[in-house]
Amino acid sequence: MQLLPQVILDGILIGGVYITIAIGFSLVFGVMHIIDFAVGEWIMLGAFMGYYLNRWIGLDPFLLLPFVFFVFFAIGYGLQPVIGRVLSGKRGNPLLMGLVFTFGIMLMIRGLGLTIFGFYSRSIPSALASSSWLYEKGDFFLTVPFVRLAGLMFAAAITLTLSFMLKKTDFGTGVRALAQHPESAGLMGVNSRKTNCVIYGIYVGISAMTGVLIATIFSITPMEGGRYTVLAFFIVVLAGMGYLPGVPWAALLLGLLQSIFIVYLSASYTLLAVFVFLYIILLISPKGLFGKGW
Amino acid sequence: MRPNVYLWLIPLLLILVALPLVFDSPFMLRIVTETIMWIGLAITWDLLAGYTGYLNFGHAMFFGVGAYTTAILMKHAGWAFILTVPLGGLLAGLLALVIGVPTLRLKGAYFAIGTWALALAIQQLALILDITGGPDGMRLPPFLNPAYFYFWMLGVVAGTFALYWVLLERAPFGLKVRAIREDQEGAMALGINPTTVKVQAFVLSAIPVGLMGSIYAYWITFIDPLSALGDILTDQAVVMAVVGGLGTLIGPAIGAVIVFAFKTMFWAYLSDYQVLYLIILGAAIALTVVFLPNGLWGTFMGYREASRTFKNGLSIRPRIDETADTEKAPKGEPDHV
Repeated sequence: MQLLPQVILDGILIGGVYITIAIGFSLVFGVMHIIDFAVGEWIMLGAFMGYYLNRWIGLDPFLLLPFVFFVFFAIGYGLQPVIGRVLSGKRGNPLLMGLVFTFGIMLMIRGLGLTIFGFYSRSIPSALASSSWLYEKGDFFLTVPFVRLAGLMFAAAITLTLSFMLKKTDFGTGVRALAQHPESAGLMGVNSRKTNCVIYGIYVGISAMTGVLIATIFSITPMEGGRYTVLAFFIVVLAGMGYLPGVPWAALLLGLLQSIFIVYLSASYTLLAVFVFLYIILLISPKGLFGKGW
Repeated sequence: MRPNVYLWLIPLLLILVALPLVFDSPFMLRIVTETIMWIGLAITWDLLAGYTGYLNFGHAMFFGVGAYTTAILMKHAGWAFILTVPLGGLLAGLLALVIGVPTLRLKGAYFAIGTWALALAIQQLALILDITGGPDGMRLPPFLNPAYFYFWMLGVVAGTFALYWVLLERAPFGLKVRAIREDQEGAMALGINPTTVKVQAFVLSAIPVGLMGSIYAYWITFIDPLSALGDILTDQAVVMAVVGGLGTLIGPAIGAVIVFAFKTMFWAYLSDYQVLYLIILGAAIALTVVFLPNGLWGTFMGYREASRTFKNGLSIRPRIDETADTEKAPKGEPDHV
């Protein structure tokens, strides 16, 4: 039981990273109803871009985040019209077409990643990585690694920025209107094409920044993208698909679950538990823990 | 509803049956066997996705259940192969029945994610359990007779194809599943019980996959959670069905042949560039979805239909919103004259 506080703290800190994995994904699902299989691959690409930028320029990964965001924002902005074309109601089963399209994108990015970056695992060095904060009082002790704390703070910043954007700005009002009823939003003067492009760009940008964080805190290989897709699906289903306020809680829950499983049970049971839990949640409450999903 | 298209398949079947008798190359026979297996996987996936409108992203679990049934029974209980194959199909069907009732209540994306999670859970279970050999997989006693497995695979897939043809293109069942795909409430209003029909379709798509998994295990003689339960199986079946054309029987079969032939050629001649395969496959999928949403077969049939109606001077299908009056009314003249 001596370990328990540390386990809970680790869970919360990992959960912080998971928030950013899923929040853009949830936003895109809420607005465009796309299930993007490629979410993990955007994370992977972002991580490698951060890795190479760090090697060439030598800046700390946390300072590279805005740059990575803008590059991937542009990529997402350019890609969205194609997805919009796939999802347009004229063809049968837009959901399947969207899934299969992003699945194709996923394979392409993974193949590109393996071709360019090879199979090796990389991690980005950061000035924060070596230092941590230690609290000790008798038997009770806590270690707080600064990188992970910075990750959690970054996640909080992203969440707050998104929620400010969605609730307080005109653009955010347009986004929410579009999510509720695209036709009416269009009649009220919301430019759905441009808004969708921006939202998709924001999602790709956030995912890429998460990749930089993950490569700083852990490490990443080009094969690992799928792992994060699994986690993103799990969090988004748990939170209720498209329900943004649920994402942080679901992510923290997943972080705690994982950290407890790794310490007190076997690591090999973690994924089994995650998938069984995901399936059961879907059966019992398809709209997520809070019942507010789309 | 074009029997003339399906008639072409009878000579094809005869050629396939005669193939191992005239053609003595184990390597080629192996490739043809695997092609037939992929045709089976693609059409069974299409029964649920293309005809019923439910995206099963856990198709591999039925394959794995069949494969592990054969492997465990043959290795630990010493059963004969012939007895394990029907049992593999039966267990896969039973699994579909048990999970189908709760899972098929979910719609659209939820069903896709639910089946996907379940398949991954079963894969994890196979990695953890002792009886399945964990990550090391299982080795079966080798039986080196390619023609034997070829006929098993051909029998199962041809039988499935014929059964599906009767059920989907000839019997009312095909109309029922299509009605559910188009509008579930509407189908209920017509007296169709959607749950029953969907579960039937799910079980029907699972049993042949279980049989194929059983045959695959003894044919390859080695299975592990990645090769028998991995999502690459599902993914490839999805790709084949989409490239060929959803909601048809021939489309996914053609897609399976094309994608698998491409894969084999690529791995045979360009094995140094295996990763390139992922890029090309991904690009092919994305481009098919954007430019040929009906798949190769669907697009081809669309052209054929259009050219035929053009030749006969007939108008293209009457539209629903076109009433009889609009056609009769002389154009360009106001009503009140």
